[in-house]
Amino acid sequence: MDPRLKIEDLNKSFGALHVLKDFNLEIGQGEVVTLLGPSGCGKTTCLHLVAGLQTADTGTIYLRGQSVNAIPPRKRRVGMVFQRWALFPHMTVYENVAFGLKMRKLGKKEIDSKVKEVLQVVRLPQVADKFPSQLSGGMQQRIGLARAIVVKPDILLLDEPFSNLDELLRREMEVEMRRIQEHLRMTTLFVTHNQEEALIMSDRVAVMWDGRIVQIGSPLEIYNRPKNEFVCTFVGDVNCLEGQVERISDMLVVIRSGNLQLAATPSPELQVGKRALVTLRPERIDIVEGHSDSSSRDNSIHATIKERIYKGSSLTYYLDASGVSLQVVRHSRGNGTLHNIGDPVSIEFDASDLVVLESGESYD
Amino acid sequence: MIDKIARSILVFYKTHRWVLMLLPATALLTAFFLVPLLNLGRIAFFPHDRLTIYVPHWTTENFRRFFSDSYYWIMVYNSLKVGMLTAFFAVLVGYPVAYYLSRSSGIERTILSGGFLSSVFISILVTTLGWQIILLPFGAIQKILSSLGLLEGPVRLLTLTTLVVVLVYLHISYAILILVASIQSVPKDKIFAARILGASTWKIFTKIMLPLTMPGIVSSTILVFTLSMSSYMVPILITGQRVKLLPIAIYNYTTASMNWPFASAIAMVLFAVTLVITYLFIAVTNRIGRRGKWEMV
Repeated sequence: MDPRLKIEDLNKSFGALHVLKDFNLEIGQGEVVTLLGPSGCGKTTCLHLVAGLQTADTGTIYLRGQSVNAIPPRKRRVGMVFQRWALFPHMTVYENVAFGLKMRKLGKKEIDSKVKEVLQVVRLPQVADKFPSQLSGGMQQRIGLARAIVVKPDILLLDEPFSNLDELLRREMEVEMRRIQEHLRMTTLFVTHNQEEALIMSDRVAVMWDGRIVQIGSPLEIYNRPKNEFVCTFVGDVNCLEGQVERISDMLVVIRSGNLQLAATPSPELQVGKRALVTLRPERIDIVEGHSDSSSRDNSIHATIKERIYKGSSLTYYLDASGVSLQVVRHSRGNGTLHNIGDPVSIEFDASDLVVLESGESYD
Repeated sequence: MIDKIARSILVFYKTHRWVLMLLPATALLTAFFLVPLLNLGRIAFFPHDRLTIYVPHWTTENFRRFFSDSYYWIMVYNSLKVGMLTAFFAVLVGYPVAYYLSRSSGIERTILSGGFLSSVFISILVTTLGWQIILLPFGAIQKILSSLGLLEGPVRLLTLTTLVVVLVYLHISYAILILVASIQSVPKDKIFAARILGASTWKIFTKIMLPLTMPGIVSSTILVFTLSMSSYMVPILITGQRVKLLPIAIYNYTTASMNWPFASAIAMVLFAVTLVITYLFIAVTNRIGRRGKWEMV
């Protein structure tokens, strides 16, 4: 079966600015794929090209196996939810949602039942006669979604739909969106610069940089097995240590970074003398009271607490380990486990917690 | 006691300091607009006198004379016609220009704005005289037409229609300025949303752009209407005394016959008519176009 959306060698420039470079992507039916990247990486341009709001310089976009390059946006059967919701302020919620159906010249009865049904789906049947300005941001967002999905588009495009909501509401909307998504199984292309949102919302995440996809995979893959430093640092917090491979045994590779010796899992690319970038997620590090030397873990390093930030459910420590500063995140479990500034501690982690990347590529 | 007053003045000053910002403009308008206007309203109710211009005892004679003579009704009709036609065509012609301008940028925008808004920068007297010279019986247009054999003998081109054309030309810049601001305030993603939902360009215009720019259309219509309705220099230069208009009548009674009371009465009628029409227009467009509230001017 053809993928629902297929993008082939797409190129787009604005003047001297090459925004999309031989961009390729496939989305299966019912799949939610997120384009994640910093602003200016070309993700919104990609969305606009799929919607037909802009024209690509070269390349082809297929929807249900058919090229839509020559099809104007109003006939493309896409749905789009905008960053600022873009509701029509002079129309009621009902009229906003009915707009797309009216443009498709559906009968009054059919429109009425579809509008009512979709308002049930977004759980806002009571606001049909209100104007958008009378609704809260979260409600407006849900109406924006209802307006996009009521026409049963082949693909739903979401352009940073949560970036204008406050933190609490955003969390709520992410869950709500996920619920609606699971209910409708609608093929979705989601664009965001928020890594947490990308991990929550998607079946697959495509991390973009400079007009290309750097890595595409499930949220777990992206977070745990990043391909390079850019993906690693963009998705989640991470400790990055520059080092050099010192020796290799059957079970472990020892990498020296400053005064630290780190034991990592061997891989064919790692050879003695080669430069490497060692990355370590802050939540993978355990802290043990005192400078202990009798640990069964692959890595046990003496360190001193330099700073402690209490965040309620979690704690962030900044430590100094022989001149290397490290960030550690721990869950709060009562008061007993709090370490104080200046405390001597040992940090422990397994070889498999370290992700070793080839050094040399820079992403500035 | 004095202490108390001083303190309350101080309190008032501290809490209402911002009112002071209105002071210069209020003073200016009161002294040179409100007071003369009230005085004009007063004189309108005095009888005319050849020696002293007016005698101060109350009468409705001036208004009775105005409303009992169909000659003056024609004036009201003509003035309204000029005002409404000018406003209608200025907005009709100005809207597409404003739309294009609001979507253009860079050097193109600078050149286009300069071109379309130039009439603001040149004195009305100069531009109107230019029109007059072109349109006069021995002017450029008639000469060309008759030399081509398309016109026989001189024709009177300086008519009410021409007056409307010239007024549209003179006032369209104001309409465009207001409309550009109004069109620009419509967020682009609303247009995108409508397009993706299946709206054609025409539907986007009628269902989205027109309602959302209605406030701009209303204010530009009112501005051009009042400017044109009360304009007197342009009618004097273009149609002279041939087309009966309220401002020209006011001018005549003030200068030629020195009948200030009657001139004041006509001025009051002009004032009232403009006010009523403007109010009705706002009321009607509010009812048609504006449903709910949206935060756009």
